[in-house]
Amino acid sequence: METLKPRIRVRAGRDYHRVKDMLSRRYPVATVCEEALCPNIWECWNEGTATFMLLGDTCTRNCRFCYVKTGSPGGLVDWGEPMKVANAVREMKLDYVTITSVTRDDLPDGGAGIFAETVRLIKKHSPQTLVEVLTPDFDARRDLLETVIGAGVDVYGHNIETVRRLTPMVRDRRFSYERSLRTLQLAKEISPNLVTKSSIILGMGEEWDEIIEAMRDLRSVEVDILVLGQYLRPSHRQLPVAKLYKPSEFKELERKGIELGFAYVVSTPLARTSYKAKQAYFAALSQRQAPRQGAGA
Amino acid sequence: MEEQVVAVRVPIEAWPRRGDWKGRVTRVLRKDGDVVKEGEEIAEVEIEKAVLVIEAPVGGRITFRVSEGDEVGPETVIAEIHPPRG
Repeated sequence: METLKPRIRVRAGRDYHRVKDMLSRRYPVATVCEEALCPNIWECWNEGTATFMLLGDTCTRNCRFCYVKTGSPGGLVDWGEPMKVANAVREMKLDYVTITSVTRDDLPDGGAGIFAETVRLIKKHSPQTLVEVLTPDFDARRDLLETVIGAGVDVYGHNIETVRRLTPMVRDRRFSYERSLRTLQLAKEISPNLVTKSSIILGMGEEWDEIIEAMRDLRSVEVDILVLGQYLRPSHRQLPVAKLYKPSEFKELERKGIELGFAYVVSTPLARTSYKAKQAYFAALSQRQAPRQGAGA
Repeated sequence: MEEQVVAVRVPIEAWPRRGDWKGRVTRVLRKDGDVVKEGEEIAEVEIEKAVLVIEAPVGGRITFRVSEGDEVGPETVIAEIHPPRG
């Protein structure tokens, strides 16, 4: 039977090996590329880039779509991690980097301090590098968001992941749809010029109208960049795929997103939050400066 | 002179530090004894999230070590290739 899953040719080029050696030997930090079995890893690593994952590889929350290990890290933090990431960014000569993390409910600050230190060190050692963070919800605490944003973040991302109705079934119960929206709203309140970003994973049982509602909700808190991608089940332990969307449906949602006022929409089956992040950032910036005329332009 | 044999494995390189995934051989694209070219697609391994296309790293006569339907993981030997002598 023909499958609609992405076909991956495993070809390790020179840049791929350079990224791999750097991240596994010289500056060992986790990447979401590996931990989430991202199907885009070949494209990104062969282009010499990766998405760093702070605070170890074990998440305290257990979302039903996610392949990242779950458990209790017992309050342990590697304070050498920010320097490892900063060194890797400098050696990889990245002009744009995305930093994400597992959720760490076992830490009093949820890991905000590590995020901030990482951003500061990247900015110190690679002043030209733009930094995008993709954070947990930090329980929508203003002080924690201020800590991260104040370190010099260029793009603040937090994912709502799914539509309102499915949130309690799909995400860990400690997440809430409203709190995620509030987190994004706070980011904008703290720094009105900050570019904000959120993703919805499609194919977990949502209805079309619910997707549009979620998009409207994200615009109501002034999110700039929307990412829509197809859910691909990482293993039998995660939720089954409820629907595979057609490329034409992704296109339609992209058009709708632009109509709703997002500065930029990344909407393709293999889109993930950090996929083409630099391109999305610059497109969003130029869009802000020269707003589109009319819908669907 | 000892004959050289190149083992073709399911690439752990796909996600280097996450070696705990499993997949299934869904297509074997050549037959035992066929001569394959370097870079030619010889098999497909389907995991939940993607299909890994396995390519011949060298040219030569191929012998498969798996069949369609077999469960495999990173580093499982898919086939052996005997490159031409000389």
